[in-house]
Amino acid sequence: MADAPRTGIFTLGRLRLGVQLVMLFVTVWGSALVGHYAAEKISSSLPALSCAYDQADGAYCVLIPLQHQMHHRVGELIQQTGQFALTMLLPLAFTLLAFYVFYFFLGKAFCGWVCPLGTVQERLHRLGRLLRRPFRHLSEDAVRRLRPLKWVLLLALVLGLPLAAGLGVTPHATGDAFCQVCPSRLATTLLTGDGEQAAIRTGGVLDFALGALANTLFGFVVIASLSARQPFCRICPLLAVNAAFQRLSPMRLVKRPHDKCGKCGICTKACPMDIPEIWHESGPKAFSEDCTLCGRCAEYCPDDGVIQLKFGPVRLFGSSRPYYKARVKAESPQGETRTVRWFPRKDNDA
Amino acid sequence: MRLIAVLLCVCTGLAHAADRHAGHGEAARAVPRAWTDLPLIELAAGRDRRAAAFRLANLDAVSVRAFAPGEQAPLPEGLRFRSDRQEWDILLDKGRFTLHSTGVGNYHWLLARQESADGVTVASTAHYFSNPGPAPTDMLARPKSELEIVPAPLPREHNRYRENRTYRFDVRFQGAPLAGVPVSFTSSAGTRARFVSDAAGRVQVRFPDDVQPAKGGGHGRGPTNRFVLAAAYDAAGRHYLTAFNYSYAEDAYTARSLAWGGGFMALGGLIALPLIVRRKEASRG
Repeated sequence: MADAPRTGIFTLGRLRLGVQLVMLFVTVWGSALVGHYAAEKISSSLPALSCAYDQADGAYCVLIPLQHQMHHRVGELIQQTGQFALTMLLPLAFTLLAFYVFYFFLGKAFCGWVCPLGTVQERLHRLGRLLRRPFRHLSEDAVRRLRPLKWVLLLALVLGLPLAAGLGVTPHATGDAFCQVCPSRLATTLLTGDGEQAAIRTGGVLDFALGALANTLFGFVVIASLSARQPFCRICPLLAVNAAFQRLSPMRLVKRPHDKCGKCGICTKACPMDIPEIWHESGPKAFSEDCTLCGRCAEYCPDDGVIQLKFGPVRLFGSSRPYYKARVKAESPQGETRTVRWFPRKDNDA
Repeated sequence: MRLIAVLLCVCTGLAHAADRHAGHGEAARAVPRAWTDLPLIELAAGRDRRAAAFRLANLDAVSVRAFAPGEQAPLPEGLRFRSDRQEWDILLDKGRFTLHSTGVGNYHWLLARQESADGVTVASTAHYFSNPGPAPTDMLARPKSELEIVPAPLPREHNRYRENRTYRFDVRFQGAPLAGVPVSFTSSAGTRARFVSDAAGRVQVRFPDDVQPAKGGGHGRGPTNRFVLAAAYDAAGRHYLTAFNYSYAEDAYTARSLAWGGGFMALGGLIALPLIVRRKEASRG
């Protein structure tokens, strides 16, 4: 795929859709392929929101062991021994090592190509286009204001509250605080026909409050996705984890400066995360912490070789004018489909 | 491809080594009074992350055989989970014994056997330790006695058998599926039912709604009942009886509300509603 096809059915967007659908199957119903028990899963440290509450899944999300270890390994041991030792962090190191073995190859493409919640939100947004719902994009200010929230959620819900639960400071229910509010827990379990997670616990105030927050957030994400792109991804703590490692994977987005970039900005319009840096910056700054490596900016860049997806020195995909012209004929940068044409038009039909 | 397979296995293994989550497996409790005449291996008081105490009931045996899961992953020798044993005998002391975890793999299997010239009677159960290591798939597949009732599968980590749900068990004789065999179900709450294995030796057991709700519950806790599944079979002039006992928890929807869940989802949708409604253009002309 080093050179983008001029026209045809093999666009990067369609390839990504195919991969997303396969990975949706693997991450939601994959136990049919890999096995029933945790030890048989592809990984229990996947850099995507593959939920362990989904009894039919094929992998577990890395946020699950991170929370468990903060709760049971770090917090409880500190409480029992009254002191902190670096060895308490050893399980965390193993988890991050396992995470990194996967992350090395795909990097943040786990968000844009693998995550089941990302796929669900994209399909809902596509439904919104079909239903002619208005398109809402986030302003540069809004994007920049929202950006720290994913780090706050990572520190508070994935690391802080589970640690506090292990120390006995907060209730046991906060031991997996992020899972309790994660919309992927509801989306993936509902996709398997299991309504248990959607039913809110009524036995205690905190359980009820966490359930109410989770379901409200899920309802918001489902409806908001019809008009806005990837509403939850913008605050997802797993995107923060992936962002922390993004310079440690050879998979990356590369942009070189170009004279026309100042007036164009189509790349940001095409970006499902509304990232302004891909328009205004070049070099390492263009590869923003919010990037999910979906590649839409490269698809919709009208100039040859300005934006590229690369694995180390290898160019996987690069922008080109003929590809851009063919792409915008079928779909606008914002995702509005112009015509449904899966096969290229014959020359004599033109 | 081989390299990828090895890497995947390494990732899975490392992750499990790191994620040893205590207290979320089977939460069985000893039932003080006799609730069945069938042979049982029941959890007794005294358990921790590394060991669990049991007592044998309604069976005359001097020892219990323990089984641990075996490593199946195609890993290089240095990366395999090493266990000092996969099958061993534990001597009973006044009908009680302690199972010590191998430290490798979570589910362990226990089997007590009473044999005479007339036949064989077997009691079996499973126990969950919070260990990293291989899945119990191969442990369940291994023939462990002539007549067996085998869960297919055992509840996954962070899960349990539940009231009002149907689970599959396989009936096997000398390792092969056994069709047309009646299987009795008895719960510690007194519920009884009867099933018959199909052509593939499978029985689909629906667990009864008889667990007494308790206040509290929540993450990893909650009340449970014991159950025993038993089958008998005659072959070559001998009578075989097997009984598998384990626990099941209250219904997944106990102390949960779908109505509240749906209500809050609707609230979230309502909050997002302005986003999907077209607004009239602010400026005209």
